[in-house]
Amino acid sequence: MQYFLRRVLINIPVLLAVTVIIFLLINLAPGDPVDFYVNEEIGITRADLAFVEERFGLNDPLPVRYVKWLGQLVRGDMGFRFKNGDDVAEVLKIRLQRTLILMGTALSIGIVVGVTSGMFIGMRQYSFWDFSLTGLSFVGVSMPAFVAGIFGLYIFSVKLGWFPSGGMWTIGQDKSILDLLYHLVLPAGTLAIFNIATFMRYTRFSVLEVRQEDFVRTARAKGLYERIITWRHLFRNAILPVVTIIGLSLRSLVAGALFTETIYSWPGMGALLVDAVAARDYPMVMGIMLVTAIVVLVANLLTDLAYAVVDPRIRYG
Amino acid sequence: MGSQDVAAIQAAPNKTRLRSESPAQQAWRRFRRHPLAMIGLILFCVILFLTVAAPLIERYPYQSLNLKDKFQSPSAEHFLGTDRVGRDIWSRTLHGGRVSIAVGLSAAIISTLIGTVLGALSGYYRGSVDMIIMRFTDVIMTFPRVVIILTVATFVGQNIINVILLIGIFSWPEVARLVRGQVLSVREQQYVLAARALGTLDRRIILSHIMPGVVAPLLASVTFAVNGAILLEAGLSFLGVGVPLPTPSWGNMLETARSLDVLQDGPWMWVPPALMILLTVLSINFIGDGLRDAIDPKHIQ
Repeated sequence: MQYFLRRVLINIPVLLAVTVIIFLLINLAPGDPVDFYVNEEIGITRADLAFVEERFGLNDPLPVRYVKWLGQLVRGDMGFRFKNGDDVAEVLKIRLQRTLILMGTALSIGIVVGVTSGMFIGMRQYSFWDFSLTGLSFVGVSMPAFVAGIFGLYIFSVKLGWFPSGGMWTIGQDKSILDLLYHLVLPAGTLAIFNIATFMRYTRFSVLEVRQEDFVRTARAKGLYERIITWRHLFRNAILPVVTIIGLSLRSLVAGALFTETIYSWPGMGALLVDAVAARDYPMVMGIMLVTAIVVLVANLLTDLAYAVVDPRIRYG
Repeated sequence: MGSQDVAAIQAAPNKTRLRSESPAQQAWRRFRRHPLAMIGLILFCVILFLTVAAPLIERYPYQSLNLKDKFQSPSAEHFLGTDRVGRDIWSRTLHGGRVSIAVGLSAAIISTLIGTVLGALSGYYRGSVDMIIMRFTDVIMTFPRVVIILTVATFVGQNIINVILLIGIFSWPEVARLVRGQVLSVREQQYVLAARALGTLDRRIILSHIMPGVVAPLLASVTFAVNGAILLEAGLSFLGVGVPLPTPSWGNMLETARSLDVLQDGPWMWVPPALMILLTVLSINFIGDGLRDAIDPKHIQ
């Protein structure tokens, strides 16, 4: 319990550092956000924009703006989008939920299928199953989301017409779970390929590594049941690096989601980030970076705790 | 009286009298017997050769426009067809490979160096060193690479050098964490305890006793770093913020498939770069897996 509290508290300075980095990145970036809106043709001049800068406090010194911004964040106010004036926090709430649906589905498929099959082939090195699944996992690991996504879109949507090419719901129909799942198949499938392959690969690596350990031989020598060796000695040790990999994979999952959402026009955070960056919609970009960072922080925390649970040897501090 | 002298004395008899193999020779022997690894190595060499020799193999200059022959499907003249402005896809795929592989390798070198040093220091010294390095790593790691590079790349301007630097600078945390994790477990081994009890210097313990136990997983992670960098370049270019046109890269060639007419009616324009990304990354993964099996110190008795 004390360990748990320590890990949570340790994340507070990290989170602060994250806000500083986001703020600096956006504000030290060359080019003024308002410059983007100077357009003599439609009559918006620098003079008009000076008024806007003053109104939104863009002329204050950097630390003052940071503290102001942080103060707003604490109160849950993330500002308004430059692009259309929407409330950033509101937009994020909706978008995050959609991204989490996509990522959660892909991750669950990845863990269940990946770890199970990795364990399975790890125990049967050089068998037929080992060769074929390892071969497939190589292809899966080597297939980035944008390549898998483009092929998926081309084959299953454009050519075969089995699944919709994008969106979350069929337009003009009532929103139903079935319709959502139907739209989820291609994007979640695309995302899960990499997860399944990664987890399978690492579980297999890990099982092979642990199988050579002396304690496994000792366990066998003292006549334990093979089942007990597998689950109590092998699995518990083999799962350690996999737990880390699952935690680490969350970042690449977010990245994969970004491509998947762009390709399948899934209206989540990733697709939004691509739009917001292109439009220099700074409040939106900052909001997305912050939310992404928080998601990853929470995932890291859970990974650390899971690690401590499965490995009693790890004693920090 | 350095460690080199001792190593030289130990190594000398091996070379002259015993004719036994060095661990590296043993590893190479095992690597050659690894079918997938050799397939990967050969495949990668072929890809490397094709891209390096691109100016000799190409049939049309990769930059030259030919609006008369635009949007052509594969034919005897352009055997991978042409793109929207009549550029030869075969030439652009070869030249794109040069860019993609060069970016991948350079960025991976940068990130592996940073990551290994930080990870080893952190895992070995633990305590406050570990605390500082790992919190810093945590902060960098809280941003998915694509997210932060996508944002920064639009600010600092698009060119190849920036892409390499950004990928290198933001990609070391994985390596650092992996090295740290390995060092943490290896440093608890009895032989490290023995070395410490004998009063061995920290530097020597890290380099001679701990790092050999880290090399195998690290080598696998170097292959991932190269692949990660190649994929990241391709991904950024796919989103239009990586290698800027007209320079071809596999990523920005694949980007053309984002418009429906090309995706639907011009697969020859995006399938070659997509397959090249897949094959390159696949071959490097094969090599990495072979290396891991070949170097695993637990096989070396």
